[in-house]
Amino acid sequence: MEQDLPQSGDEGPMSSAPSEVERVQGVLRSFGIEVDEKTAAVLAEEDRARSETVRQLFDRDLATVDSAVELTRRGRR
Amino acid sequence: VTTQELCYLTVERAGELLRSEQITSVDLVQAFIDRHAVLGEWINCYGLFLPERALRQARALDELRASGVDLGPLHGIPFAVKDNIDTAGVATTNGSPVFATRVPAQESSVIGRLHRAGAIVLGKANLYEWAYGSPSALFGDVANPWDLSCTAGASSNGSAAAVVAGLATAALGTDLGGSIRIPAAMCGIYGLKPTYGLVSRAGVLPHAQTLDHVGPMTRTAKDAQLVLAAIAGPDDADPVSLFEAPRPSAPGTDLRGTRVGVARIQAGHEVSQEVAEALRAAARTLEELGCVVTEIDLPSLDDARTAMWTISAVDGAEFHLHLLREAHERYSDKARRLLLGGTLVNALEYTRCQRVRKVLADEVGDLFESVDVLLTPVLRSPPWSAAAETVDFGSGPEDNMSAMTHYSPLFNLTGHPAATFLGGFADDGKPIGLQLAAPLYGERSITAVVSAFERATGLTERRPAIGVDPVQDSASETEAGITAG
Repeated sequence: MEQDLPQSGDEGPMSSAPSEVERVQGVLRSFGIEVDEKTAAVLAEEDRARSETVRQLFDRDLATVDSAVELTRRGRR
Repeated sequence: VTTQELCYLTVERAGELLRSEQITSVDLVQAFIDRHAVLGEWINCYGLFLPERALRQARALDELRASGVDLGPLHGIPFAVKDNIDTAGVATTNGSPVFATRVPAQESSVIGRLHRAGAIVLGKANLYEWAYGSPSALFGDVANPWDLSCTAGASSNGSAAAVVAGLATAALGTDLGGSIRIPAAMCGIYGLKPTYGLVSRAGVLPHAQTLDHVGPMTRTAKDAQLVLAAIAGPDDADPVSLFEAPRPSAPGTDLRGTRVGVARIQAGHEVSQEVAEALRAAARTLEELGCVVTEIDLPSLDDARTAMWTISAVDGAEFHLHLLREAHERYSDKARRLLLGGTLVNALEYTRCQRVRKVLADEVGDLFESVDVLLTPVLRSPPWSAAAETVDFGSGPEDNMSAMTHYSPLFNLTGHPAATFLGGFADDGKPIGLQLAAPLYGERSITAVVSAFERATGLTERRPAIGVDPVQDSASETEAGITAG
C-alpha cells in the first residue's frame, strides 16, 4: 500500500526544499495566510516528518482488525 | 483552623466545616488571598486573580447559607478556572495576546453549573497558550510547586499548580490529549478526564471538537466526584452532550474481586525506573486491597499519538483559521507551527487517523471485557526541568509537548474516562502520577479504586515544601522559592 502513495521527501532536502516551500506557501495562501520562506521551510520539514509518521498508519491492516472486532462481537452475541 | 489548613482542605472537608458553621466562605477566600500574596509570584498559577469578586461571592453565599439555603457540596468552595473557559464579564484570554482584552458576555455552561452549585471563581488559571503548544506568552510559565525549576506540565498547568500549592480548593481544566492528566501528574494531584460528552464544552474555547473534554482537578478522587456531579449533565448548547448517561455499577469501599489490568510498557514508551517502581507498587497495593491484578497490552500508543496530533492539528487549524489569517504573527511560535501545520494535512491522512481512532476505541472496549479498570503510567518520568527544550527518555530527544503525551492521548481518542492520581514520590521528592481508566461512564469505578488507594497509602496528605502558612512560616517559604527558582 505504501508504494502507491506520493513520497514527498524522496527527492532529498536540497532538490525538494524550494518546491516544498512553495507548496506550503501556496496551501497557506489559499487559506488567506501569507508566511515568509523561512517559516514555510520549517513547516515543510515538520509536515514531511508528520507525513512519514502518518504513513505508518497505512501499513496497519484495518480491514482485518475491523473484521476481527466484528467477529469478536458476533461471537459474544 | 490555621490559614494553611484552610488552604489545604479538601472539597469534602471544607464542605463539612462550612455546613457545621465552623468556618465561612469568606474565611476560605481570605485565606487564599493571603496565601496568594506570598506565593502568587513564585507559582504564577493565575493569569487573573479575582480577590474582590471572590469575596463578594463568598459574602453572598455565606448569607444564603445563614438564611437556611444549602446549595450542596460545592456551596462556598473556591475554584481556579482554566482561562479557556468563559466567565461572563471576566477576561478569558486563552493565554494568548490575541485574546488579551477579550471579555465574554456569556457564561460557559460549566461555569453556570458551578455557580448554581454555589462555587466561587477565585481566579482564571494560567495555561499553555490556546491550551496547546507552549507556555502562555501573555502570563509566562507556571512553576511546579514541588520544585520551582520544573515544568508543571501542559496545558492546565495553572489549575494543577493552584490546587497543589494550596491556592484553590479545586480547579477546572480541559483535556484534548492529556491536558488535565499531564499537569495533574507533574503536580501530584488528581485530575479526571470524564467520559466524552459528559461535561458540556459550550463556552469553552474549542480546539478539537471530537477530542476536547472539561474535567475537575482536585486533591482527592472523592473531591473530583463531587465536582463532576455538579458539572456533568445534558446541555443543548453542546452538540455532543450526552442526554442520558448510563450509570454502570461500581465497587464500593470493598475492592475485592475488582479486575485491574496493568499496562505492559511498549517499545518507544519506556518509563524511568521511578515510574516503573511506582506502577508496580500501586499494583501491589491494589492487590492487597483485594483487586485481581493482571498484565495487559494496551493498543498501539504510537498509533494513538499520531492520530491525536494529526486530528488536533487539523481541527485546531479549522477553528483558528480566521484568527490565523488576521494575527498569526501574534501566536507563539510553537502554537503557530502546530496550527498552520494542520492546514497541510491531506484528506486521506485525516480520514485514516479517524479510522484508526475507531479501531483503537474498539480495542480499548474489548480490553474492558476482561478488566474493570486499566492502570498505566501518565508520564515517562517524574517532573523535569522547565528550561529543557527537549528531553530524552531513551528513545531519542523529544520536544516537551511530545514527551508529555505518551500515555494520555489514547483515551481522548476513545472517549473513555481516565484519571491521574498520585501514585508515589521519587527519591528526590517529586511526585509520580499514574493513570486509571475505566469503561465509558465508569467514573465511579475510578473514584472507588483511587479512593481506596488514597486511604491505604496516605500519599495525598503530603504537601510541597513551599506550602507553608504565610503568617506562621513566611521566611522559610520565601527562601524555598528563591533557592528553587
